[in-house]
Amino acid sequence: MRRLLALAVVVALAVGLAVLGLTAIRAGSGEGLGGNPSGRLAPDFDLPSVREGEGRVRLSDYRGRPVVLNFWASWCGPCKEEAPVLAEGWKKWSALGVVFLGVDSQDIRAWAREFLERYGIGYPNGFDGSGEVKARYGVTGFPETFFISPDGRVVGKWVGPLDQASLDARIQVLLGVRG
Amino acid sequence: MRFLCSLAISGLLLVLAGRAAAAPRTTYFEVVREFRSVTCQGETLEQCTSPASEALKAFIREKVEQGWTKEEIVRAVVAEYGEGILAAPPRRGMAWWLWVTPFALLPLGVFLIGTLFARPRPKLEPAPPSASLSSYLAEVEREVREE
Repeated sequence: MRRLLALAVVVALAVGLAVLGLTAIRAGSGEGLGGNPSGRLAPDFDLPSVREGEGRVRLSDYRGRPVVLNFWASWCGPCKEEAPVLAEGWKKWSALGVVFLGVDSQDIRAWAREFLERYGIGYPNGFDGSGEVKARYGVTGFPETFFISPDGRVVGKWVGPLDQASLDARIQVLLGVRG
Repeated sequence: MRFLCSLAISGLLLVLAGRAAAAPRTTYFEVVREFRSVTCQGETLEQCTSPASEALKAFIREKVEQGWTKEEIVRAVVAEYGEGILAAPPRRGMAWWLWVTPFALLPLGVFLIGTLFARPRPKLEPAPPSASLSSYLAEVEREVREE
């Protein structure tokens, strides 16, 4: 009888642990973008700005407008290569209503501020120190850029540093100018 | 001459005070072991050589050289990366349970193992009389009857 009771406790513990584990896995994956994100809803985020006194950066604030969302970090070499392209692209395309947003992940904020200043990047950049937003977008390396339609769906993704021609072409697809 | 001497002494004192202020108050290794890597799964910050980890190590080295204490550096890193960067969960809030639960479950585990794997204790029954004893008794009984 005692043995049966002990066995029941072990089974109950095992089931409890399995349920906890599965709940944690489900919570971790959330509404993440794994694999091919095209056509899927871009996960919303609410991050503090990299720059002091700029409030918060939320993707949902830009619903209704095409968004170029760039993941980067100040210590990342290819991000330095790409930064002037993004700064130039932002000046060119923001006049046509395209929103540029940055997410600085797993970085030191002071270094990130220096980076933005050095490359003349003036668009909003959220600070994602823990890398939580990066993980939800399924970003595995820097830089990575998502092109998001006005209805909040991912139209395309670019892995690695963008050059001016590729950035322009992707934005044209985003705007429906190019198929 | 006296003025020059006092000027030199003041200068020397200023230099010494400056050095004392910037003297390391902790070591890089003492601080780095407080963190896990955010990019290399299951590795400490020290073990991981990814660019993200190397950047954080550089930050720690910089702050150690600037004379920050271990607590100040840990606080600064947690402010940037969140508590998930700590190698050991903090002993408060929900994380407190991570420290307490193993010790709380230990007696239960001992009880369960003891109950499940203990050998059943044999029941004590009177032993049957051995053959030699019964033959001896029969012999005694026969001798008594003959007398």
